[in-house]
Amino acid sequence: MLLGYRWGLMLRSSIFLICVLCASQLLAQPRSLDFFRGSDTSLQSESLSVTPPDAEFSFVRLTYDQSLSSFGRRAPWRTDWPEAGTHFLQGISRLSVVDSAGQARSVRLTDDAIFDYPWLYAVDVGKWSLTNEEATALREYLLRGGFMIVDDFHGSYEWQVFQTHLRKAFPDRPIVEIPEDDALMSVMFDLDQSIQIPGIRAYNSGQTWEQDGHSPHWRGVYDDNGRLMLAINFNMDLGDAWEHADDPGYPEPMTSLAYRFAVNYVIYAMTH
Amino acid sequence: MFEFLFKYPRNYFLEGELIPQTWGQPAWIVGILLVGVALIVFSALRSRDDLHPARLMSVAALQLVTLCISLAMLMQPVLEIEELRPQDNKIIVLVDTSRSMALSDNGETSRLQSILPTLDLDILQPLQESGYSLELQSFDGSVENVEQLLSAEAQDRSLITNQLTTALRGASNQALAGLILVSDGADNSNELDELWYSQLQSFGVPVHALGVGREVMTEDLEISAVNLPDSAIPDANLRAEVTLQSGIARQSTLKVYDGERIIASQIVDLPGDGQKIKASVSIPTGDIGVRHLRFALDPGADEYNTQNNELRHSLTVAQTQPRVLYVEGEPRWEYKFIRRAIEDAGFVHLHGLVQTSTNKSYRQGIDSPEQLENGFPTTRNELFNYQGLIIGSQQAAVLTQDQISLIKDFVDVRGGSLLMLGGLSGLSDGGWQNTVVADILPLQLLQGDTDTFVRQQATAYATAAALRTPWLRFSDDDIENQDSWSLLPDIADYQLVGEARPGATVLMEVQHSQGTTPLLAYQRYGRGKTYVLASGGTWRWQMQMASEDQSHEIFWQSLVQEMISEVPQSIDFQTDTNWYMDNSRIEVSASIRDPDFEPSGNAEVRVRVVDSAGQIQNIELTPVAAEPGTYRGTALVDNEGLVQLDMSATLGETELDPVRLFAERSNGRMEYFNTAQNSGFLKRLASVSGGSYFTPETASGILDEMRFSNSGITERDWLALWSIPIAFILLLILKVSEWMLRRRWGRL
Repeated sequence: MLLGYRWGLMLRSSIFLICVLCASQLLAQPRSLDFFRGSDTSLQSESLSVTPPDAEFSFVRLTYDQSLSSFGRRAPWRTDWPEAGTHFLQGISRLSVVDSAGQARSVRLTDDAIFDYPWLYAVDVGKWSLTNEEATALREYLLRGGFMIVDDFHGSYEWQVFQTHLRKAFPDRPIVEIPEDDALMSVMFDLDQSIQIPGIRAYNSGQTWEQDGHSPHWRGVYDDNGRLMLAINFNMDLGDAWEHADDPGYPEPMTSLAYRFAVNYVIYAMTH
Repeated sequence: MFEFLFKYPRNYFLEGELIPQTWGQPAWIVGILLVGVALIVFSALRSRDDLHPARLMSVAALQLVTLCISLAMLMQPVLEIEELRPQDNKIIVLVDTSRSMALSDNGETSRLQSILPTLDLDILQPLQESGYSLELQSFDGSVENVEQLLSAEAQDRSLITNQLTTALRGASNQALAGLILVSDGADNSNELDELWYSQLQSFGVPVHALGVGREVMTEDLEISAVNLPDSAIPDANLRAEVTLQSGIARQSTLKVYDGERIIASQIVDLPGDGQKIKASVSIPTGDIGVRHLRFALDPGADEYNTQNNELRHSLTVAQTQPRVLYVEGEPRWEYKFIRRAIEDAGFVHLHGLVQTSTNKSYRQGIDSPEQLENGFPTTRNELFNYQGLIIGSQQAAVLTQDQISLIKDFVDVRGGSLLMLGGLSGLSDGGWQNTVVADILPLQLLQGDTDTFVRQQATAYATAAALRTPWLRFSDDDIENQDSWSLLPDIADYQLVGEARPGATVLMEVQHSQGTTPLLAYQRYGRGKTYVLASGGTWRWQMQMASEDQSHEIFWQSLVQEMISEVPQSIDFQTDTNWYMDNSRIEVSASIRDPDFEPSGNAEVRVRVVDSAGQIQNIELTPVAAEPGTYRGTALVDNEGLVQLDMSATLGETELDPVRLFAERSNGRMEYFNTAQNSGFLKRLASVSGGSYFTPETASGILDEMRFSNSGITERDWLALWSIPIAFILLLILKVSEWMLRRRWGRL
């Protein structure tokens, strides 16, 4: 009987704990419907369609749905939000004369306002999912002259997910390693491609890689005239390097290098 | 009727001089007049009790007029005239027998054939019967009779000016009473100027013109002119401006052939009435080489003269390196998208100098690592190497005063093109309004401390001038072009500027919350051109329109191509035209300047001319005193076909870069152009010389006109006027009126 009571108590306690956990998870994802889709509209008040550009350059983060495999987790598109963007813009202002906005923004590919911002940043794209409509919009955005950077995805599995969805936009266009002599690598700073810029978790665990992404890759997709339109930071996490620029726990040389890449990306995008 | 009433032809009164009195003394006439007036007054006083004063005055007035007319007749006035003595005078009848007179106005008989009966019956025979000595001339020489005119050799060109002066000069020692020119007025001598008219007047011989042919050729289509550069770079698109006309409103197709291949085609709507329109057609330049372009209009179904439906133009396509320097004080999207638009076309070498940080600039597209190493050029030699200069969002204060003066000289002295763009640090916000550069811009820059750059989307639209501008078009078709302009999305930003300067052309305006201000304008300044585009946000056209859409690319390629076109080189070589129709004189000129673009007056300039038969001429060009650095010469080429002209020059010990041009010679073509009767020219020459203009319908009046010629041997005659019928008729009317009035008032 006592045993039965204990088992009953444990069962009720477990149910209670599960409910508490679920509730807390739901509270952490205020838009419950979007939670199941993996997107987060908590930042919709800053959507581009209501705030036209107030500076020449804006840090614009791509909002996307997450892939099935990452359901239930935090929306990957908002990884490092908002510090990465804020620190990024501060770095651009300090290191260049680019007229940059004070605040980062976010946008979905299906929002026409995206065409007012020729520079786009997508993070954690190893978990992204693009609809056909979004893929078409991405293709159009890049072919018109838009420039996009993808960042913070690691290992062969996430590469596979990323590539699968990118192929919806560019079925035949090759993804290549950015050569060392590409203008991107010297447009403002001379950059070293051999250094792997780690995420803070990986760094804290004493390594620079995540999953099986041991070596850094600076890859890209070029247009028909040899201009880079999609820059791919694979097996790296520049977003963390920008986000933790003011964190004593994150190595300063990595942040410094990430800033230099950031400046080069922006200058390149605005000159090529 | 005139002659019935006045006894003599009207011309007598126009040409003659009236002598009012040939009989009696003035005192007698005055005496008679006074007596007559006294009698009238006496008679009126006697009748004052019988008639109302108004009636009395009427009768007295009638009597007074009767008295005056009678007295005038009594004075026996005469008309003094100087009339030609036909038997002592010669008249030349000069008949235009050029190829244009062989054209038909009715599809059956030629102009010459159709005028011959009039010439014979209304002019030659009456003049002969009057006793004049006649000389009938064709443009080929003297002929015996009108029939021989038909067998006279048709001239390739109507050299009316030359033929007239030759005929008048040949008869200078004869009693020439006048010259009758029978022509359609299609003069192709290229010598028609005020000097020629003065020369014609100095002969003192009246030239009467008999105009032949219709003044509007209703069924005819014509390409009057083609405006296209002589040289171009490979794989570019040139805009040719083609002048077209038609007698009636119709639609036709304008085709451009390169050899036998059609490289451009366009449907054109012609307004009719010989009204000229300009069609703009895009010409792909293709590979390096010489393009023998043929512009042709499809002939109309009822058109007799199709020879003027075609014009040719030789285009030399050579790999030159036009260079444009684009300076930006900050990285921005406008730079990126302009660069992409121009780079994709590949017709120009674009050097970019973009300031990326406080102490660093990014040099893009440069030829060598040393180029622009120290930033914006500091010497003429360095800057004048470019044909175009684009200044974007750049503070003027970043440059030295010398560099800013250099920009002005770049336009004024070098003849380059300057385009200033709007931006955060552009135009007035960059402090340019306080520099000498502001003086050369087509738009006035605003003064004051207020920010003029507005980062707000706004609608830009083309002005009427832009829609007429051939180099700034999205389509050859007017409607499509207009649609393309209206479909352009809003620009990302704009900058407030002042009004356009006199002489500037505003091509675009921007509509914003504060009203409308000029957006794109240009003007000539010195040897060059300046442009202002008061925005840094045309990139939005590219990002907002489909990736296949080429509007942004076309706009920027057109603008930059226009900027670099016609920019003089340090060595320029050109001919006065491209297609020498019936003109063997090829006028060539060269402009030689040193690397700083100062005129070089001590160069030796030679031109080697090779015609289609392989005949070679070497010409030494001579300096023109009034135009430092300019050299001119003339080559005479008779053989039809392509003519190659190679210019070489030495300046001191230095051999300058050679320049090659092509021109084309052909004979017998010009007469088929402007075939409508040029009555304006015929009227002018007749008026200047003291003669008159006649049509076939009024040709019979030439004889009367001849009688009072100021030239030739004349005799004086006095014609009595006392007996002119009108005087007697008036007297009769006056007396009958008086009698009838008196009868009515019962006071006979």
